[in-house]
Amino acid sequence: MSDLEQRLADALSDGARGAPPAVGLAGAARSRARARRRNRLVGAAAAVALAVGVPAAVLATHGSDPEPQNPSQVANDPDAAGPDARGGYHYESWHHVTIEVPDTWGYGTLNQWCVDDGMEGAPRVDRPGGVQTLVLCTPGSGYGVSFAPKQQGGEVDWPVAEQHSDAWPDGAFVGAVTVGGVVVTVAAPEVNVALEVLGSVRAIGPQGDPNGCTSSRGEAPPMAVSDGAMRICRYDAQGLLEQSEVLAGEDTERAVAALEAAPEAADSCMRNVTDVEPIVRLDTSSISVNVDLGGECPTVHGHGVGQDRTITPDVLYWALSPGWSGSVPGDVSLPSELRRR
Amino acid sequence: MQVAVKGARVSADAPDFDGWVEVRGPALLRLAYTLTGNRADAEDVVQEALARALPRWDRISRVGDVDAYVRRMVVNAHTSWWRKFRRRESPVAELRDSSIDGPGEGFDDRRRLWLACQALPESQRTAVVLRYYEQLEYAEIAELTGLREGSVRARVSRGLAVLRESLGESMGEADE
Repeated sequence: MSDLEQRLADALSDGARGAPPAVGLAGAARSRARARRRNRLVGAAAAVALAVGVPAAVLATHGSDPEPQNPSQVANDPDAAGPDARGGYHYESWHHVTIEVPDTWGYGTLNQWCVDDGMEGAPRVDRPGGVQTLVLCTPGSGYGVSFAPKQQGGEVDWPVAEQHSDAWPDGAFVGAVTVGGVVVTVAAPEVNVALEVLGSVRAIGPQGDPNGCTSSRGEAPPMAVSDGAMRICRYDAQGLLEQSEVLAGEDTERAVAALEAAPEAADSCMRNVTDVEPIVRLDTSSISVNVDLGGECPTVHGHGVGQDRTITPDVLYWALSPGWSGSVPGDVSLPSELRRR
Repeated sequence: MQVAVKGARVSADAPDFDGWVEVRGPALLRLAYTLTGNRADAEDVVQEALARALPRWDRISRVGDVDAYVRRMVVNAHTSWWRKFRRRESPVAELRDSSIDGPGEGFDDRRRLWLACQALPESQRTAVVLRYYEQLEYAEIAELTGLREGSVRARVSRGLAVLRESLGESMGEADE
């Protein structure tokens, strides 16, 4: 042990003598445990309400109150969403809402947290749909954020509360809010993270989400894309936003190269313009294309790439944002691995 | 700082909660105080850990090392957000809680070290306190905190570097 280390040990030992006296510790712990038990009973009721569905949760919280509480009112303010996520966070959007989540969170379904997907139970972003494994996890849900369409009956506005039940990891901080017809549920091991993520829920306004994607593919194209960036907006078969992302730098260059390298598509495919199929819209300052992921014409088409092009694995590698899970037309090949970041 | 739980056990494998707290409570409070630098927070941290331990005491009391188990709960309680949030509210007042007081050889150096340690980022301070107050090995700290041993070593090393720098600056100013 060096001189500094020894002096440090001495200083800490001396300083520790200032600790408060241990009087009534066991009794105080008992009182607090009783209070925790009372809170736990309330929290368990909250978890059950969330688990059985939105209507029950609404009845238990706000009844027929048609007006959302303050969090929703703030969340509906489109001007409240800043253009940049805070440090260590990024934006995730689904349908009509966008939120900020920690960069360390992955993707997947919350009720599949126990499946060995390489994430070891880490928090994840859960979008409806996609592939699920027939496994029941205990607790029923892991950490992360999930989006779900609002069901009939009202809106969920559930303050963050500590949970002790089989529904969530013991001690998880769970809350939910309804914005833009979407129920966003957040579960995090730390209360500040749960509060920050839940507090970041915003409705997507006409100008699009922070990545510049509109909530519906039928809306007018949003703001221009800056040089060197590629905006990726993925829409479902109903034309609603599934996910958004902005690539930059070398990623943009590689994505553009993949588009330009894709072979021209055969002329025989006639696209029905009234069809609404899952698509990914890719925009740069000079390119604006749709990658059709369904229907009769699975192609890349739009401005800046000349004629329609076939969808190659390289194109899909960039078009499918991290966390994508689903299927593509039979004559389209997926890349050997999907993008993780 | 490893205090044996003599007299607190009702049997060889299952120490009684009250008896265990009576024997180990002071050491837990000293650890919490060293971590938080604040008496109120130290009491809060220990009470929180014990309140969490109490409902499952039957199970905890049969683990191999009850001390280590509850110590981990204290450290976890300390690192919880609300503790950190509260620390940000009154950092100056907390530093004044230091009991290192009165004249004596080495007093100034110990006081500077104590204050400098309290000023470390929470993650470094926790690692440093566990290493130099609790005298735990790196592997033990890693197991307790859930970090890799390399991460623990890095945190301790960075903490020591900051302390050296702090002391150097202080002594430099004093020399002038």
